[in-house]
Amino acid sequence: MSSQQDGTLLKVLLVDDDPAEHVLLKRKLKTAEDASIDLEYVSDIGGAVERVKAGGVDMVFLDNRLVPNNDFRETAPQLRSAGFIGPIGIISSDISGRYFEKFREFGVDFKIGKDEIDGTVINFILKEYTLDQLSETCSEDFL
Amino acid sequence: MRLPVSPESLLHALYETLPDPVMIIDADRKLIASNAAASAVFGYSAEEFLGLGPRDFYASIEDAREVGRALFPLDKATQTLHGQYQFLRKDGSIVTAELTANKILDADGKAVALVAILRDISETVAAREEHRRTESILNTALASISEGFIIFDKQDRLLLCNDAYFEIYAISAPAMRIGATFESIIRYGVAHGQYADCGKTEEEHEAWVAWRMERHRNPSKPYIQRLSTNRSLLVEERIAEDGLNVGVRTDVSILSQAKNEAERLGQIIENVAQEVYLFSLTKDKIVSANKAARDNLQYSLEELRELSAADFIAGSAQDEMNALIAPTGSAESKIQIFDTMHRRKDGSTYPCRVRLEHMEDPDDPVALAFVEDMTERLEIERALKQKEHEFETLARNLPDFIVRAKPDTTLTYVNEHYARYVGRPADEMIGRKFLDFVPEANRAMLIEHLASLSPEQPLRTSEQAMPSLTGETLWCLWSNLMVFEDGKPVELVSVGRDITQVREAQNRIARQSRELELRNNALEQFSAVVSHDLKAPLRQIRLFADMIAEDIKLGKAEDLATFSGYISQRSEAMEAMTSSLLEYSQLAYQRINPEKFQLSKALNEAWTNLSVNVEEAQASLIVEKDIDLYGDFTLLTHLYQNLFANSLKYRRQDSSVEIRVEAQTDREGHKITVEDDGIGIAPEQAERIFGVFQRLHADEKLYSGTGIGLALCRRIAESHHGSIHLDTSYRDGARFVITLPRQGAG
Amino acid sequence: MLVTETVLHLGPELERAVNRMDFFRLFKSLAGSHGFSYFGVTEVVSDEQGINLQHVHALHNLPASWFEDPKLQVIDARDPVFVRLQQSSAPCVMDLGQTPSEVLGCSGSDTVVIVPLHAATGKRYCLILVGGDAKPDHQALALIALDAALIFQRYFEVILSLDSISGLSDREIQIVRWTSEGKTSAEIAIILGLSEHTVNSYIAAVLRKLHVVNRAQMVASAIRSGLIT
Repeated sequence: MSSQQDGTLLKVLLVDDDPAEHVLLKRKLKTAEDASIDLEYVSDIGGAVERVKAGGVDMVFLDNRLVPNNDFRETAPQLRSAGFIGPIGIISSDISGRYFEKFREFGVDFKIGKDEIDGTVINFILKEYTLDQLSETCSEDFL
Repeated sequence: MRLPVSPESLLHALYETLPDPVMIIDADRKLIASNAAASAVFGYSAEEFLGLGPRDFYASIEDAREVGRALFPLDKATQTLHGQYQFLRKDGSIVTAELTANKILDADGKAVALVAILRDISETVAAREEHRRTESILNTALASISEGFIIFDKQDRLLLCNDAYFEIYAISAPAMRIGATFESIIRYGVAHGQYADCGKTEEEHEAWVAWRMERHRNPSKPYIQRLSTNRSLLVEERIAEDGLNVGVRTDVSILSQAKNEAERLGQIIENVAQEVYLFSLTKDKIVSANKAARDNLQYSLEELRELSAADFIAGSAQDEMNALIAPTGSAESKIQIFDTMHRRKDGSTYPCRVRLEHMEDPDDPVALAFVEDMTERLEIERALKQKEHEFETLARNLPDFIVRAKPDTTLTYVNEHYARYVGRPADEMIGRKFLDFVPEANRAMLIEHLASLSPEQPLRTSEQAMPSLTGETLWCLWSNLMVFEDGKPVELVSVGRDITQVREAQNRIARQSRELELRNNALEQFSAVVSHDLKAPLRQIRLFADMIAEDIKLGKAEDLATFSGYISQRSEAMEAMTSSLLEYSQLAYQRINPEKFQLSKALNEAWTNLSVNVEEAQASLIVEKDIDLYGDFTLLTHLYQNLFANSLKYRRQDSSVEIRVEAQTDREGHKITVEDDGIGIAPEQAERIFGVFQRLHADEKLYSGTGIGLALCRRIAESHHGSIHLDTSYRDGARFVITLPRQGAG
Repeated sequence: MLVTETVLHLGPELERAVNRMDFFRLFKSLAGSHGFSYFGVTEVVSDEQGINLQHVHALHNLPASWFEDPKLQVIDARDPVFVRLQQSSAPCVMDLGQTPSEVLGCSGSDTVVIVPLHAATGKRYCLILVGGDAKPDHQALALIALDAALIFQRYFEVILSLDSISGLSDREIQIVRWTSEGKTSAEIAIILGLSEHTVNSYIAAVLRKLHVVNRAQMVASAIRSGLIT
């Protein structure tokens, strides 16, 4: 289901300065029965920018607070500046800050609390953000 | 007696010589005979008359028919007819005549003819008409004159009176019938209250009637008669040559009123509160004085008339009086006004103002003096002066600026305080415009402000900054009150109050509120960070514990060590955090116990507390200058200790640490800088590092810490009303700048 | 001052929800807080079509494996869940042990909560909760229905009612303008610093707002109505 139409695995990049989060996410992906995902991990935004520039990344899970940056408002635009046009999801243990309301203005596609993540969420994310919402005819308009 | 002629010839002679026309008419109304007079009056000859019918004689058909119906046919019972009719002459002119018709009876008593005798009355009618016209003109003339006009005949009976007379004596009018006697008319008037002066009793009435009758019969000079209707009449009567008594009444109410007013004026003068004297200059005696004068001087008029000026003019004023009177006597100046003293009968005196006017009378020059007792006025003036003095004292002593001005801001008064502020004597400012002394920057506003004042909203206030004499800014609350009278501005009263201190207090409160808000925000952030930072490891611990349980269930063992490693690591981090929090909460919100101590003492204490780390880092401390501080020794020691710890922690690898402390004190307060030669802090982190649990470096294994130290430093500095910040311009390490207020400040 | 913990869907997230992901999280939170593993929200259309949880506008976290059988793509007219929705507008708890449902039977538990939902436009939707151990009592059911109505109301306003909304947001106009200049979604994503997915979401929203089906029509319609020049 979640593998791309050409059959290759979906490549998700996790950017989090706490390596333990990588361990935890890997474990959760296993419980998402429909997801076959190739999860990569980097610990800082610099590494993330390098990685998306290298290509092949389909989706980014971005930790909200990456030391020494303040929050996603500083980091997400860096990925967009690097030319990344895949979905970016902010994962954070706390998404209560008011600035989260404006996440789309910073090029972010969705936000989710780390607590909320489970297999069904990952399934939904993959389905929602890999499925083209535009009909075949519409997509082909300019192709 | 026997007549010499026969009755028939006598009748004939009579018939022919009668001056009135006589005509005989037969049963067919045809004229059968006429006399000479008939021919003379109607112009027909005797022959021409014969055979003429009624249509030829009567001027109107109506008359002809009327007579015809009355007498014809001749056998009608009516024998005679008498009436006035109009007849036609031969030439067509009309003659008015009285017709007398008698029937002529035959021997059997049957009417056979009619004899008509006409009396020409044209002239009589014309004369009567003329008389009536003359009478009408007279009546109209009499009616049109406003004077009452009346004529009695020799027997004293009323012959004629005009409408005006009726109108004047309206009450007596019913008695004024033609032929009524004069006496009856006035008796009627007396009985019905026509006259004002006829007395009340019967006797008085009789006496008055007798007097009036006497005047009427023997008229002499005209006299004024007052009626009960408040009218005054000039009565003129005279006996005309033909013995008629002619009377004319002229209304003189206005004239007599004027006379009354003169009397009334006398009474007014008598009763006015002001003293009025008439003084004979030649005799040096009072001629007359009104009641106020008599009362105030306590003399009767008789006594006063014996007084000369010296008797009631007090003291030296007498000489002045003489000097003043002198030119008046020579009529050089008609009016003199001067102040003097009057002495009363009992010897007491009172101040007064005299207005002396010389009345020109060469025989007996008199002076009219109006004297105003000034006692009360002087009293009022004194009270007013007292009030002004009090106002002045108040205005002088009030700390406010007080300014009074005309509506165009021309100053009429400034108090000393304002004059001192402006830096000019108050006298110099009066007459100039208020605006001239208002700081340039405030003028436009003031003009707009004053223009907006209205009777509905006469008062407005505004706060203005004004430079003080010493150059500081003075805040002044100006209240501008425009006094209006009948909608027109008459005076501007402005009061300026120095509210600099109030404003400073307000600013201070505002500043404190802002600080409080910042602190609340900080606290909120603090709690958010704490909750987040404590929750995050807990969540991980729970998840790893779950994973361990799952793996054990599945019999997998390879990851267990990793998972449990994470759990211990997170637990330790949490322990460290909770300890830090405890430390923070104990220190950050501790009460400050200020004391005076030397900076070096706190630095040494802090350094000693870190001795283990100091040794490990081979660190050295250089203190450039020592100063006296005033604050909480324990807390400030903690502040330096945390800074030192920071420097020791973020040192360059494989290098010793040198920490340098410099201090200086100036007017602003103390400034202490702590700098090191470590790895430094990126400028963009300059603020964030003072937050709670903010890690500066991702690799916290290398630089272990709980991220609370700098937050505490800031908290301590702020609780001392000081500050701490990172000097971002410093590149060779980290440099923190601490400011603390001097003793007592803040 | 620590903020007291509340379940996600009752906190400020409801007001902040802006995309399908956010509403997915809210409905999931509602399900989870009442002990249900799975939820599904979709439109109740007509007898023939049944209830299609696979519809592009549906939200659910049901496992894909439940829909592998081509015969079980929709909850059809014979299904007791569908019958219940046709007959009643009140929320209910259904025991699948007594009235088996083919699709939802995959959940492995017998309890299913059915909450009919009504949009202001008259359209009918439903929320289905499955995969719970406990059977909600009357009070719990009332709470579920209330929360579901609140979330749905917001969901309808923000996401579903696009058809009836006139006027485009600034972002949408930007994207229509770039499209009119021949830019692809990927190019627009780079220009605006968004993901291609987000750009397509915007375009999809504009298509629905303008009642058109492709980009060419979208651009033409936008020019006609003066949205762009």
